[in-house]
This record gives sequence, structure tokens and C-alpha cells, in this order.
Amino acid sequence: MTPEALLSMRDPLGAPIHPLPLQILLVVTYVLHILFVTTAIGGLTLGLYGLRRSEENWRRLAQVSIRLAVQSTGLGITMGIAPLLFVQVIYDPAWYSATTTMGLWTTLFIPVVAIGYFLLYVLYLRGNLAGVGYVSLALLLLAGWIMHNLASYGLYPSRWVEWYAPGGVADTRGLAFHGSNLPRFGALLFGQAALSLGVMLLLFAWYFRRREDVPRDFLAFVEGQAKGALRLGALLFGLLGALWALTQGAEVGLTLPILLVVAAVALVFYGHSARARMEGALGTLGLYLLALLVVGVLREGMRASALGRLGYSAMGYPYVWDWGSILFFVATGIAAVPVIVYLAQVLYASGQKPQGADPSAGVERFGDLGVRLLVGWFLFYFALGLFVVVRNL
Amino acid sequence: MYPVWEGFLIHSAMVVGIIAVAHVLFSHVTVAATWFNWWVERKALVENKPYLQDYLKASALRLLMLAYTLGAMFGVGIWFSVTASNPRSISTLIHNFVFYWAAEWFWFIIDVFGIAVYYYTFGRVSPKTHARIGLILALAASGTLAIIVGILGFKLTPGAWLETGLSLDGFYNPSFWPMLLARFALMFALTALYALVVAGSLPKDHPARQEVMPLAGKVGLVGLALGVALVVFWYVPSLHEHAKTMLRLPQAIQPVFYIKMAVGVIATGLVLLLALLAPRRVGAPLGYLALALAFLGLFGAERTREVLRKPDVIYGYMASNQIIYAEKAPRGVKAEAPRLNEEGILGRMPFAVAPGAKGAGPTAGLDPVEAGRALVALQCSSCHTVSKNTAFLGGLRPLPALLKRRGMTTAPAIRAYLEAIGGFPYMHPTVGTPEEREYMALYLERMVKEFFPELKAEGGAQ
Repeated sequence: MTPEALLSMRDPLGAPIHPLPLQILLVVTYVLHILFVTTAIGGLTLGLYGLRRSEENWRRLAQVSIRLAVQSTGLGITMGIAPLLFVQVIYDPAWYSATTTMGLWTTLFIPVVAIGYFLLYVLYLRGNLAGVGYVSLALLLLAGWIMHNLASYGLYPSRWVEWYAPGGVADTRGLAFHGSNLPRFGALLFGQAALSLGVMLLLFAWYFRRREDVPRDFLAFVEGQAKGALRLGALLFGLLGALWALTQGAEVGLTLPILLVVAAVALVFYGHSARARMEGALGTLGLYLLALLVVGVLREGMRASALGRLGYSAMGYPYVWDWGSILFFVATGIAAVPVIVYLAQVLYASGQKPQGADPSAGVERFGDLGVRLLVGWFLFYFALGLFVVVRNL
Repeated sequence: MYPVWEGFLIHSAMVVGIIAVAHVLFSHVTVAATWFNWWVERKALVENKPYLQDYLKASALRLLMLAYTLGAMFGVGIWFSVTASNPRSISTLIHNFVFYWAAEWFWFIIDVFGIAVYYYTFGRVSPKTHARIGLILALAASGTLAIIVGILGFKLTPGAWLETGLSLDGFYNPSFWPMLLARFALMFALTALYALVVAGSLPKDHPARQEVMPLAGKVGLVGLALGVALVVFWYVPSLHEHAKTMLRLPQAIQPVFYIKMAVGVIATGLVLLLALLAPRRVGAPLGYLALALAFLGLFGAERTREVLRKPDVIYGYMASNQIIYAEKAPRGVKAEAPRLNEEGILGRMPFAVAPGAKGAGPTAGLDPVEAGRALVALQCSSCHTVSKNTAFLGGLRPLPALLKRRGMTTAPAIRAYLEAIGGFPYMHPTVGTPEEREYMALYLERMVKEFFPELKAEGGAQ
């Protein structure tokens, strides 16, 4: 792959905005995505372990974990749409070369996730079908492996042509995996899964600490497991992350930055695991989101560095200011975000008491506002459409 | 140009088609079901019919597990399958509409999060609050439809975008309004079938079953009649002349497509009529059967819509084989075909490789047949089976069979055919230098003989 060839693969239409906002959106939405994905993996793993234990607390925690895994998978998939969008805008040569060279796996990704998710639901509804859960876990891990390859492939532009056409003969079946790095996969999936699980268990204990029907000893048990998960996550992330730095990091010339980041994250959370309390769960969540953001920036740094050697810069991506699309996005965000907040408030309030509870009058008024915003969005949508139609007459 | 993924066993375009139709079915059911359920929930409240909650819970659980999950996921699945099979087309859409999709993402979050909140708060919040969540779901789900229709329609009727390059012009394109309204109407027919399945799963004497069945029949029939009328009297007339020509060309749209659509519409209509007139005779199995036939009809309809823009994947801009043909494209984009004809493909495209060539290097020393394979894969494999990789069950519009049927089984005959291709309304002229067309003909001859070994023995049949 020559620098000219790499640059020529960028879409000739250019981006609809300066690449910087796209790069920021890519990292921020990736953080949300990976938080839920790793929570799902961690929750399901703990749930399956809990199902094997006979103690009441373990049985109970297993059900909680599996439910956590179900909801996290759904949100993880949904959150994943956004980074998937933004990566295609400013890193299209790397992304599309990967998706075509590994075409079969790219296409299988969603069926694999869908079946894994469906089986996870079956496990959740039936409660004790551990076998189904193991198949689900295997499928979700396979999906993670596919995505890992698609992302990692982009770091090796000099090998793309040879991977696609060994010896010059193109393999158009897309069967092989390329670009994988097991330590990276392990650190970013298993290490972060344990960390995410620890954070979410703390949040669970924090939320239910005021519910009288939830036994204190169970909450203390959950808190203990959360601390253990944080400790385990820190160790896994640190060890596998160091290997990642020494292997893939060395290949892209970023050994030291990776070592520094993984060491910092591992040390912070190893230290924090001893002090973590359910009362401080929100602080732990904040700290963890910050760590994920740093790791997200590191991933982008690796991509930028690897492609930069061939003269490719996301910040140099050609663009035009397409104000119409920016207006559309902002208007939708203004209408949608309050509604998402309202839904979260309803869910929060309904779980405060065993029999459920209504949100406060203020929240209800906020809900009415949310509905009005949604109706307003449709008015905006139709008015904008009519404006465009009239202008083009 | 990117590497080519032909598919594995099944042709990549067929994979996209199957996933796309599954998405249409699930997502359409989801959107209208939110309105239907909101209406039923209001009915339960206003008319004091608490037994309708049983229907709502059963419906919400299935929506949560199947429609939302699979509907949303298969939507993303279309992306994934298209990024593998036709990356430059999805790239064009992404670079035009990334913020529209990002806006749709907000609706997805409300959908996926909201249906969970809706389901888990049954009986845990006041009926009024719950009904509000239902309304939010309906509005957000409709928002997803409202956005995707603009992007879908753009591919067939990009309209003023071809001049201005402004995404709003492509989004609110000439077929936007009829497609939006027709889909909104037709999805009530699909949702009605789904409601029959859900209501049919309740006990026979359950009052909710008796009440929902005829309601679904009524709503579905209105949606079906209105939707079909909108398609016939507004959507089709709104299309450009090229699409109308394609509609009349049996080589492009085989009669079986129309038969599938007719079967889907008639079966849906009959089952909904039965639900309206004799609800006791309708059960879940009949609902499932009707949904399966509706799937068939949708498959015919969606495939027809895809073929209407042939030979382009984005009409007037980019061909199905991902080469930009537009002489006058927006945002300063230049047509690629003339340059490729002049300079050749093998020398310009990084993944057009063959033994003897190093990446984008010169063509000297190439294995001409393998070079031809690379060129055929690039130019023909988007729409045709061009190797045994995707020949399962005959493949998709298999080139070997097509060439044999037309008696073109030797390189000179195939070469002459390649030169004539621009004469069909559903094909662009072949691109490349004369030398490269020669390579293509050599590979195609080998391919025909691989598929039909008897031709080898005959030394080439005419």
C-alpha cells in the first residue's frame, strides 16, 4: 500500500464537517459502547459462575448479573452504532479494507451477536439453563473477536494487499482473520469486563441500599464481589496490557505510551479496589469512565500513528460544511436527550420501592415536555422537508 | 476501490437482500406496533378494560426480545453486509448522511432503552405514566422510519443532490414523501399480523383476544389498502423514466417478483379480513403463515426497488460495481470511468492485483487470466456469480450460465460481448484498457469451462 493509494481510497465526497468533531464523537461514543459491551461479558461470566454455586447469595447474584448482561448487551449494540458511523467517515480506507478482506466474518458479526443475545434472553427468562448461557457467551466472545480483528487490521496498512491477495492471487471469500493481537483482545475485553462488572455491581449495591426488602448481607456480598472484580480487572488489564504494549505496541512504535496508560489504569483500580464502597459508586463510575476515555484516546493514537506513517491523517480529511445535516443532528439531539433522561428517571423512581413508584411531579412535567419535544421534532422535520421541496421547485 | 468480497457459498448481494428484508419486516412491525399498543393501552384506560394489559404485556415481551432486538440489529446487519459487499456505496451514504444516521441513533437509544422501561414498569408506575412511555416509544420509533426513508429513497432518486451535493436535497428526494407515507401505512398491515400472532397466543376465551383480533383486522386492512394505493398511484409515478423503463423490462425484473408481491398482499389481506369477520377462526399459526407470506412479498418488493436503479447503486452517480460514472457529480467529484479507460484499472487500483503485479505497480509480467479474474471480480461480481465461491444453488445471475446460454464461450466471442455491454439499460459499459478487456475475456472463457467441463472436451461450443 503506497501513501498515494491509501489517500486515494478516501471517499471523494469528503466529510460533512471538520474531522475534529467526528474524531471526538468517535472516542466518546466508543467509551459508552465498550462500557456496556464489557459489562455484558462480565455480567454473563459472573452469572454463569454464580449458577454453579449453591449459596443463596450467589444464586441471587447470578440472576442479577444475567439481567445486567441482557440489558448491557442491548445497550452495547445500540451504543456501538455511533462509533461505527464515525469511523467510516474519517477512517474509511482502513475500515472498508478490513470489512471486505474479512467479508465473511464482517457479515456474520450481526447474526452471531443476534443469536448470542437471543440465547442470553432465554437464559434470563428460564433462569437456570447454563448450557444456553455458555453458548451465548461463546457467541458474544466470537463477535468481540471479529470486531477486534476489524479494528486491529487498520494498524497494518503495509500488509493489506498481501492479506487480501497472497502471492498476488486475490482471495475473495473473506474467510481468514487478519491483524489480531491476543493480549490486546484480552486486555480490552476480559480486563475491562472485570473492571466494568466491578463498577456496575457497586452501582447496583448503591441503588438498592435504601430498599428495605433487599437484605443487607446480600448488598455487602455484592460489594465484596465488586471489589474482587475491580482487583481482578486491574491485574488482567495490567498484565495483558503490558504484553499488548510489547507486541502490537512495539509494531506500531508506541510501546511506552501503551505501557504508561495500562500501568496507570491498573494501578489506580488495584488501589481503588481496596477502598471502593457502594456509597461512593458514582465516584468509581466517574473514575472508570475517565479511564475508558484515556484507553479510547490511546486506541485512536495507535491508529493515527500507524496510518500516519503513510501520510494519512484523520485531521487532514477533506470536508465541506454541510449545514443541513449538522442542523438535523443537533435538532434531533435537543429533542431526544431530555426524553432519554426522562426514561432513566422513570426507571430510577420505579425501582425505589418493592411495589414500584411514580416519579415526582417535576419529572412528570419533564416527561410532558419530552413528548412535546418529540412532536416538535416532527414539525421541524416536515417543515424542513417542505422548505427543501419548495426551494427545488 | 477496495478488496472484493464475493460472498461465501451465497452471493454477497443475496446476503444483503436477506438481511435487509428481515430488517424491514422486524422494524416495520416494531414501529407500527408501538402505535397499535399505545392505542390499545389508551383503550384499556379510557374504557376501563384492564384485561387488555395481558395483550400488552405479551406484545411488549416479544417486541423486547424479537422486534427491537432483531429489528435494530438486522438494521446494523445491513451496514455490515454492505460494508463487506459494496463498501463504496455505503461510504457514499455515510459521507452524505452520517449526521442523519447519528440522529437516528438517538431514536434507537430511546427505542431500545424505552421498550425495556416500558416492559419493566408494567404495574410499577401509574397507568398515565406508562401510557406516556408508550407514546414516547411510538414517536421515537416513527422517527427512525422518518429518517431511514430519506436515505433509502436517495439511492434510487437522488434528485437535486446530483447538482448541489447538499445532503438535505438528497434526503428530501423526489420519492421521499410517497415512500414515507406508503411505508407508514403498510407497516400497520404487518403489525396487524403480528398482533394476530400475539393475541392468538392468549387463551381462546380471553376477552383481550376477542377484542384485539378484529381491531387488528380493521387497522391492518386500512393500512394495506392505503399503502398499496400510495405505492401504485404516487410512489411509482414519482420515479424517473429510467426506473419506469426497468419496471417494464422482464430481463431486469422477472415476473416472479410481481408474483411474490401479489401473494404477499393477497395473503395478508385475506387473513386480516378473516380476523375482522371471524376472529375466532384466527390463531397464532395462521398469523405466522401470513407473516411468512408477507416476508415473501416484501422480498419481491425490496428486490424490485433495488433493481430499479440498475446499473447504478446510487442512481446517476455510482454504478453497482462501485465505479463513479457521473460526468457531472457534486462536491467536485470527478467521473472515474474515463480515467480508468485511459490509464487502466490494474495500474491505478491498489487491490486490483494479480500474480506478477506488486500492488499498484505496472502491469508488465502479469498472468493475463488471473489479471482478468481480478478485473472481473471488480467489475462484475457485485451483481453476478463469477466464480465457484458463490455458486451455491446456482448463484446470483451466474455469468457462466449467461454466457453459455448466449453461445459466448470463447475469449474472442466474450470480448465482443464485453464491448457491446453498454447497449443494455441495466449495464454500464465495461471499464479498462483494451488490453484489460482482453484479460477479462480470457478469464471468463476459463470460468465458463470450469462450470461446464463438457465445453473443454468440445474445444469450445458455439
